[in-house]
Amino acid sequence: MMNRLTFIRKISILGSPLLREWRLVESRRVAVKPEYKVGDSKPLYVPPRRPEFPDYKYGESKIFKQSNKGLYGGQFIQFGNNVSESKKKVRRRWLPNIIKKGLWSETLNKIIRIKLTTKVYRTITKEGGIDNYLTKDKSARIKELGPAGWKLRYRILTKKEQLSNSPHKDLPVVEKADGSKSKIYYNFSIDGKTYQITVGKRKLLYYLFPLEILEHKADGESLSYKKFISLYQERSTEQILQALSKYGFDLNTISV
Amino acid sequence: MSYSHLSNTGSRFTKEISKQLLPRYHKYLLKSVPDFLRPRLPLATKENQYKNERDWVFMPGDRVVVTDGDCRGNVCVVVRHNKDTNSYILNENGPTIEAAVPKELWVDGQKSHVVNFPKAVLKSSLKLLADIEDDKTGKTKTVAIQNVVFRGSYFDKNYNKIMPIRCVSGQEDLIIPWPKPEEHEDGPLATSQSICREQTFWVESIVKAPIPKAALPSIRNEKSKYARKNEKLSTADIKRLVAPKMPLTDTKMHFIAERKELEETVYKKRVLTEEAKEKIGEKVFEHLSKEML
Repeated sequence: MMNRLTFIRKISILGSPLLREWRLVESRRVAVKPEYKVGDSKPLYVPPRRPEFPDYKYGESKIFKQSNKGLYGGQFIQFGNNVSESKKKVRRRWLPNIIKKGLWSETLNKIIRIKLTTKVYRTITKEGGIDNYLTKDKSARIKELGPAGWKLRYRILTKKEQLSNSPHKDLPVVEKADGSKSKIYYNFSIDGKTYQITVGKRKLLYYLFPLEILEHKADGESLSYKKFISLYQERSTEQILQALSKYGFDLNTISV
Repeated sequence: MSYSHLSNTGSRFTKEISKQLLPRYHKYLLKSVPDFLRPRLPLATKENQYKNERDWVFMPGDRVVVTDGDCRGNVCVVVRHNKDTNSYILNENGPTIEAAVPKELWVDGQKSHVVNFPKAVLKSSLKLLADIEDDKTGKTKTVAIQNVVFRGSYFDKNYNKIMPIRCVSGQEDLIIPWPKPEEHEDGPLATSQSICREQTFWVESIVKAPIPKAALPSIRNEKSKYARKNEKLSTADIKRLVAPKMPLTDTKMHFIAERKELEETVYKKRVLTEEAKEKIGEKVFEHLSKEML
């Protein structure tokens, strides 16, 4: 007679993603940063540059360092034994299935080349792109992002913020002769002619700098970029355009 | 040419030569120093140099006997210590070397280029001599001591410091006194010991600092790069210390807006207005007046 238990279907709740353990992520000890206020005594060390990214709540992995550089989805190295027929045990390790991929980021408008596990790759596919994967708000997602994912998330969210709050987002768009579209930043008129300028202030300064250098050279002076910027920092776009036309720059190349 | 009498620059380097540089240093030392001044023994590293009387065992003024070399058996007196090579310079009875000295360095009365220089001797080739009384004859005799041990310590007036007690190994009741050091006469600018030892400052308060604040710059280097400045945090510092914040996602922003809207409408805490209070009062009064009747 067959054992009755063999007919009972085993229900595993351990495989359920809801009960996934984050022991190796949550148990990491991260130093609590003090709240700094102006006028407090200065700490022993102040970094020379501002930090580029926000602090990741769960810190870095100390036991599987390569996971800090990729999207490993909270998977870590595991250790165990190979057991032969003679029961001899030989130590071995199990790594997650790691692949290198270039994933297109819609927001950043470029390919992100990164190491990731196939499990994460599958999730990214399901989410509909790396941007969606990185910007999800669930706490489990934040835990599985790791330091590298957190940094990418910051890049994407800041870019999104930038795009939505861009000062030039409502500028009129015109079609050029070759069919390409471009924004019109300024309308500039000189000597009875009006130009629709298609480049921003920064680009205008970029064109002006070599001309300004030549001008200084003629007077026997040198001009550094720093000095040049300090000269033109306060000037309006109109003044920059006037300077460009004064030095003989062809405004037709930057206008419609 | 050495400028050590003018400046300390580079003195640390010459004092603390690393192990890696030591052979090269030796090579150039031997090249640059005249033959008669060259150390014949290997230089001791800073860690291995003798530091105290326990290390030296024989002090200047001690009588010793040479146990090997050409002068084996000679009784000599230790003249001085050679700290660089952990060795002893003995008097004229000790080993010497002949070296040629250039005429510029001749001393008064010198007649030959060749001069005898005392040769430094290591501790291993010396034995201490001591005078002990013979039990049988009652006469004093000089003996060489095989080994010396140190037991306890005492304050030595001649050396003006605590010195270990030097005993004969195996017969520790035999104490060999330290030789009297050479006396130096005080210079005309010297301060006498009694004046130095006189107490001129008494602590009046442990709360109040004895040195006034204005006088502190005269005793401390205010511009020292090692001094901890009592600097305060500026906004620029805080920018470099505090990481930027993660921008909110669209969903999070929607959630916050929704929450705010709900708080303003559904979850809004209702405040009892004066009108409502009056209405309630009226109702209660109505009810009570009915009851009373």
